[in-house]
Amino acid sequence: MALELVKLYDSEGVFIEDVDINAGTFTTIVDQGSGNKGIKAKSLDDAGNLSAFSTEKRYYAGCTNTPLCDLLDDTGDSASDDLTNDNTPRIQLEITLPIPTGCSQVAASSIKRLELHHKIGSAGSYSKIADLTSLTPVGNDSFSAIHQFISELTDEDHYFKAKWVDAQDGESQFGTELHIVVDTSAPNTPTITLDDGSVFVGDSVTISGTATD
Amino acid sequence: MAVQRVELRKVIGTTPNLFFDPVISTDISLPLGSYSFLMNMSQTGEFKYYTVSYDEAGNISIISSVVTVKVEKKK
Repeated sequence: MALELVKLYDSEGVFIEDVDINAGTFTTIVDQGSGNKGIKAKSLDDAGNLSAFSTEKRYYAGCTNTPLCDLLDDTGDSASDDLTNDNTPRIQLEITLPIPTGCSQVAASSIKRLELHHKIGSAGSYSKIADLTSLTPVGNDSFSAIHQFISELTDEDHYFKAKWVDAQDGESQFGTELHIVVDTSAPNTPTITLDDGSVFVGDSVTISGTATD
Repeated sequence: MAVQRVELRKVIGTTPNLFFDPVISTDISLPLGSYSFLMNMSQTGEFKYYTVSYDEAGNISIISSVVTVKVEKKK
């Protein structure tokens, strides 16, 4: 006895389509619209016997989430002002995807790669600088990757944005732009003035000056 | 980039040393790039001070000149 075809159904058991079997496997493209979806199958042999349902596969279609960029090497007093004196900084990309209903986590295979794009100055134009495929799971629904600059960035404004590419080579929209400033130049030497260099115990002195960058 | 803070440091050795010299005070107000430190001198002796500035990206300036305060007992 041989299998004749596979019958595909949605989560509710509504028939979708028949798919021919080729050398024991089948492939087809199913469009059930966007959102939380499921698909399951029955096989039909050439005698007309129909199997029970397969295990249901759950997935989320049409996700519009976009990745975020973050400057890891933010230096100075504030760790979140996107100013850095590190001219070979690390840029982290992170994408959060919806967990399909009935699943405990997002499969890592959902993401083929994260793309990092870069431009110099607000008037520059973006170009892709990295395809990041080494992804680190963050919790059950997020993945991150880090781009480490090897060549030194110039002291000026730099902009980054990212997209993610799914397992079927579908590309997301770009995420929110990250604007960083690279500044490796030291401030000017402060001037210093002492109002009185010889005083008695209990007196006060004032040290003042100017400090510019 | 703007200066984020100015530190007033006290020389504890023979020459300024950013690793060991303690920060006496920090000024982050810096109106128009000016700073000011008021110190009450409570001990006799000769004390040396200098300042150093940091910008918002964390870059540090060269240290300023050193100023010396001589403090004597009232007669």
